[in-house]
Amino acid sequence: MRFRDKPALTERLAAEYVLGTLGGGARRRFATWMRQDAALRLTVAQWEARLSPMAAVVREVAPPARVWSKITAAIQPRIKVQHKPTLWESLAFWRGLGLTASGCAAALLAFVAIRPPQVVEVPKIQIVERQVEKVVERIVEKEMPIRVSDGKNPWQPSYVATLNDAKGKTMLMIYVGRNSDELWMKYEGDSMPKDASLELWGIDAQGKPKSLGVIKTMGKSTMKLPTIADKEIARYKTLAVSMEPMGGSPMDKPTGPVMYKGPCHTLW
Amino acid sequence: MATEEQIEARNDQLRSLLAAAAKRDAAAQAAFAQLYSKTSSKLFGVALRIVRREDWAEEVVQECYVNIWNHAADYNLALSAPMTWMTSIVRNRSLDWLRRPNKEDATDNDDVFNAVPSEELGPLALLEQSKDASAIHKCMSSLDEKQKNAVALAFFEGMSHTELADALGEPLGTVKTWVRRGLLKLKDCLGSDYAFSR
Repeated sequence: MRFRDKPALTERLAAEYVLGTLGGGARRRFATWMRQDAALRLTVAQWEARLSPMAAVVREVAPPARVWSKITAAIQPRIKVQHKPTLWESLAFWRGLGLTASGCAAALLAFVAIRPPQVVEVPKIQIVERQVEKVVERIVEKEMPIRVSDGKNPWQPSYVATLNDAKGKTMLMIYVGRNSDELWMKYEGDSMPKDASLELWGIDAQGKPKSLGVIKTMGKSTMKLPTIADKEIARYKTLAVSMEPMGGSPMDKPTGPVMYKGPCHTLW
Repeated sequence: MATEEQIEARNDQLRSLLAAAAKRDAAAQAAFAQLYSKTSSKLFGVALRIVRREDWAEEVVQECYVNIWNHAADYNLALSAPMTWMTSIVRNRSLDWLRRPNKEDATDNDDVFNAVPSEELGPLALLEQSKDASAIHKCMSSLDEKQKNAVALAFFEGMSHTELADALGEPLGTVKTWVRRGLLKLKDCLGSDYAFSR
């Protein structure tokens, strides 16, 4: 059938296609013609613009959370956490430090002088990467308190991570003392849709994720770790946050997009 | 119901979220999540009304958002306002779903049957209780009752000519005429050279 020769019929079929009254076969044939004919697509678009505002009166029904998690799984089938070189692995860092012994595990990044015990002094930062510096600044500003779990040890090692979005903006800062099982964080990202949660993951050297739990998306908060940081956080090269259905991923890996991530530094 | 200004402001916001989603970075996913949270309840409602089964509506809406994500960059080429564009994607997918060959009936499987609740307003009541001032609603009220009823049942419930004839207990030819005349009147009322609100 030649549509172009029959404008009235074209118009009617376009209207009925949009309205939905065309039966199965007629609907499929019309869709095929439409793909081949730009003028027909325009006629259909005009009818869509005419009729679709009618949908405004349809009662809204929130879809279950699993719909969103299936969508995110489909648009990002594999969660790729880029392995950024950690501070320890960064050649530039070691060069900058002027050291040749790159395996020196006891390198002094910064130290926290404790004088007397249990009273926290301003950490004297000797050398820090800018990312770590940001967290330490917050610690200094007492936004993130330092917990001294072992008064006998004046060198209070800890783990620090700044998690950035794709543009490199820091959205989440994390700090935990080495003998502590309490992780401190400050969230500076956007608020999330009400049916979504942000979940924190530790990614080990093999790239395997482990859930550390759902985080609060407002300001400062704490989170209990399964065990002390030396046993838990020490295993992770990277920390990452993914968006998940309310309450967290239904699986033991992220199902939603990775929103923020960053290397996990050991801060001595 | 929303004023013209509110609708325009909402469309502006949806337009920029679609543009951000088209960029394909991590911020794009956040924008898409926002787009979803702002539109999914309406679109799920539209799909549910047509396919009448929650599990089907879930599948339809899920596919549609994946399509919207995949074609976010093409939105600029579309002629319609964002809500029109997305509503049409969902309505078309829902209608294709209903019209697919060999489909099981919505009532075939009682376990998963989860039809639109019975207190749900019928399509005519839905239109009448609406305080929506948009042109389409004014024009719908200019149709005579039979035409209005046929057009509303088709639009909201996704009924084909045959289903309309069954539902209204009238011969197929009569129902087709009501629909055709109703649509012609709507076109006269809304203007034949329809201006797209972008």
